[in-house]
Amino acid sequence: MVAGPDNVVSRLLADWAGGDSAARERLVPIIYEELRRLAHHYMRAERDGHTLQTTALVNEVYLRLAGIDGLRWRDRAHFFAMAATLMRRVLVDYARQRGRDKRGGGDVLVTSLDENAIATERAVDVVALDEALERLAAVDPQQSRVVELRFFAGLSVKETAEALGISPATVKRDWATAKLWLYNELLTR
Amino acid sequence: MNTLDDWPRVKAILEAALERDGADREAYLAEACGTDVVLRARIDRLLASAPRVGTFLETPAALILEPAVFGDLSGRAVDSYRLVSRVGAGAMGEVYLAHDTKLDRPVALKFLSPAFAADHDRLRRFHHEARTASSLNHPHIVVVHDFGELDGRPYIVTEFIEGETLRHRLQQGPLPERDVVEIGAQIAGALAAAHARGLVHRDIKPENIMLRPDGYVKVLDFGLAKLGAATRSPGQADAEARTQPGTVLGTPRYMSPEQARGLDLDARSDVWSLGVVLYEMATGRLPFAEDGALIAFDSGLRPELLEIICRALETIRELRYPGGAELAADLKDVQRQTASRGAGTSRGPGRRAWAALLAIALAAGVLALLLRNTRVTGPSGVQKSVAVLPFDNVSGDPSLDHLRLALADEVATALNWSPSLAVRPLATSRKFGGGGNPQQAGRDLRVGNVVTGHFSLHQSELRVTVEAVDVDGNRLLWRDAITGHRDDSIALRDRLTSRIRDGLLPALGTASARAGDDRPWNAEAYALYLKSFALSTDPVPNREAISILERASTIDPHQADPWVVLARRYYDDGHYGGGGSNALRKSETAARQALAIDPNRTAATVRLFSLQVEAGRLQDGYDNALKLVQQRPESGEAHYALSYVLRYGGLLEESTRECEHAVSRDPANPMFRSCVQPLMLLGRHDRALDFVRLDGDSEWARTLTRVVYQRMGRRDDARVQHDQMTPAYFRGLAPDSYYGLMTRCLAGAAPARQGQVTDEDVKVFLSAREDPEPLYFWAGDLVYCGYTAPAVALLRESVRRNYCAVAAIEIDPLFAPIRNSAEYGELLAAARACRNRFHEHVRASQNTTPVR
Repeated sequence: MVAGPDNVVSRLLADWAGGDSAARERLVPIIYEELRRLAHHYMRAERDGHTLQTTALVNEVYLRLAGIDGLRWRDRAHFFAMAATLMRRVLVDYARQRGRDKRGGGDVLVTSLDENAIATERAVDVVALDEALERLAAVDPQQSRVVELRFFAGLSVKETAEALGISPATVKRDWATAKLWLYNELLTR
Repeated sequence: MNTLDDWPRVKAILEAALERDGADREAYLAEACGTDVVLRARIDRLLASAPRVGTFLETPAALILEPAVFGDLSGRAVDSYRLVSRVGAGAMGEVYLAHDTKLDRPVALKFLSPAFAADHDRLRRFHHEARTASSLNHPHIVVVHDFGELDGRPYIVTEFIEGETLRHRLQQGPLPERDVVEIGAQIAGALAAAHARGLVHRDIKPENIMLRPDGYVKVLDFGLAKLGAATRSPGQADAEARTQPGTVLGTPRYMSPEQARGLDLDARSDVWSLGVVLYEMATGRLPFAEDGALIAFDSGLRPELLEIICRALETIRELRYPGGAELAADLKDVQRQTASRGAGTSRGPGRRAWAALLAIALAAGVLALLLRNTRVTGPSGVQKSVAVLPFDNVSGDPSLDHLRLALADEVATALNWSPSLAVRPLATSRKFGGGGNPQQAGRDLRVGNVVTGHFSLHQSELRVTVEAVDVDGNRLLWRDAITGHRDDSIALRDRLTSRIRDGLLPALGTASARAGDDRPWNAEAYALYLKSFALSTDPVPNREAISILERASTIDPHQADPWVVLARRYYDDGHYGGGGSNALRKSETAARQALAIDPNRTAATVRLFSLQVEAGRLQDGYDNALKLVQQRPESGEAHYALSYVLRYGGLLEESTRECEHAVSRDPANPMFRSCVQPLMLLGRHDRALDFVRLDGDSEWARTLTRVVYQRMGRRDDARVQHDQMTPAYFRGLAPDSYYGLMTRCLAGAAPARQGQVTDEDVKVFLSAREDPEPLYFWAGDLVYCGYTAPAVALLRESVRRNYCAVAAIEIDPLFAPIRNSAEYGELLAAARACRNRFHEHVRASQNTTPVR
């Protein structure tokens, strides 16, 4: 596994930012593995009372892979956009697996680790969310991406706007209506 | 009902409603939904959740990850395997030493990324391929026992190999050559067995090679790379569909060029990867930088091994070993030689000592013997270079002056029968000689050997002495003399060429690959042919030489020599003598005549090639360049020809690779200086300047240095280069206004002060040269000086003439200003179309050319 700043990755990131989809292809498994590995590392730390924030995680992956040098927001935005997809996959793969283990399927609850949130918020069925987002993507891909970036990658409204190249106001509107729809899809059936 | 029906409308109403409240919202909804009660019900239902969504999804999804899935699984039982300890983790997964409780044996259990589980078809095909490789029962291919899945993660169970990976071994530095060959031969053997069954590994790299303590080598992970290619992320179907089949993840350092481009792969891709591994084992370094640039071959390697590596790393896969079997055979040959050479002494000489011994053997002409006895096909990865200087006329008879060049030309032609010699064209060496110091001439021409001679007259008997000098050692390698009647030049020629083949070529450490054509000459035609050498290449004498040679070829049309020389003279006439396209057409006809008589006349192929490329016939040019490389894989100039057409075709990476191949075989050929172009366009400025230095401090080298500096933003340095030039140099090569324009521009004058570039000036630029590449150069200079519109006109024309200048539009920093111009889109499309046409042809010919 690539540990520490790596020229290959920064080059691939640059190529990808320049529109090379093959570079993206090559980045996917590298980043996926690194996310997963780091997530595990953080999990251990979490037991000692730390909390795991996705943003911090993705940020660290980015720094490890691309290096401090040449840190440009445009690349970083690209990176976050991809990481969101991959984080979604890490989670969904995991959740789906847990569901299969229990032979129940589908009724997996993955809660946020934010302690305040746990107390006040209903758990999210990640598998169902994933499927709902797939359906949303079919009619409104941008809105689906907004949810992915906000929820799975933990980007702020402003960061999401930059990553997608749209205005923060648009992100806010997409986010608000998506939440309404998803809430109804996932929690009021 | 689908809750997303008519979503854009629902969404818009929701958005507007959320901005309002109370009566305001109610009024809005009443108007927006009108009588559509179903719509109204949907909106109401969604809005009703609004007070409750609160923190829903607001806390970013953090991960709950459990060691059971993501951590160290040591101690856990998986099916009938007990995981003992984690022994490795990599991008492709984690490896455990496990105990097979059923069969009571140690096994390796490798977890693959859960991402692989998604595509069941791919996974099945991987299983099939891994099993097939395993079923070959090859001693160097790891045995696969089982497949399974744990918590959604596929795994593969193989024999457990004690030892270390080659990567681990390499961390301690390069390996002794004996081990390189030994390990390489075993890997090649494994590949040979797989290739025979149509299996391609696709991911040969040090991480996938296990070294057992007893010296056994095992190749891991057949089929896995293909599985990796299947890793897909949901929602990315579009992007995926655009990528080519066979795209492979993993480190690009070991990927063949066709693999990096995502083309279909065959055995030759593995050959490339193994070539990289061989080089890394031998030197501890990678032959190519991450951006694909060749770092430079280490001349400390023994020639046989270097030659094998070079052949494995041919960019054009037709030139590589066709598969593992052929590569294994050559490695085993080297192994046998090592064994027999080492037999006499308890400890063989070290690597450097061998190289020194070999060099001595070469110089002494011993190698010819050695070659015959050991069946080595190529003597060395580096071509020996030789220049033939004009002979000295010491007869006191000026009427024999034409023999000075004619004899030199005969010698050069005879030397050309050896494919492993780089013979400098007479044109570059003709200014030397005349009693000069051959050693100095050799240094100036940057060749290892110089051939020169003199002739004298004793009554009617002509006596010709020829000698060869080793430039660095300043030693006489060979000398011979022949005599004959001054009027019987044909007999003299025959004697001269046979002495060269039988004496001089072995003395230079090379052998004639084949006999030349020995068709008898017509005496009158030959006399005319010789006479033509007295005439220089200046326009008027050149025309005279043409008419003499035309007569010679009419009298004796079945001799290749006059056609070869005619092709060159017509070419010069066309470009520099005012002969225009008519002369160029004749040049092509003459070259074709020469090749019809003797297809191995590389000078004629090169001529034909240049004509085609400069006329924008890139596909014909490519075919001829490929033919040259196939005829003479050891020839630096053949690889250079390939680089040349690839660069016109816009395949810059491929072009620079061929440049590096060229210079590794023929390290000081000044012709290769124009490799500056692709390297510079790719931003590899330092390497580009290395190539300029091949041409010493010539005027052209200064021009090239200047354009590189311009792209590096070193304006002052660029100006210094320009100011050192002779203004007259560009006469006939560029429009008259060019030099002055650059002088004013580099001096820092604003465009307004530099003077106008009028439409008339543009026309002059457009018609100055047939060759489209100068247009690109000038366009770059014009943009640099602030003349965007004229530059665009030149660039458009160069693309129209099939100079596929995608670089100008995409990466060349000088052209940044035109990227904002209105013509940008049109130019981009034209240049890309140009490159794609060429690329298609390259790809098609790679797929149809039969494997050697």
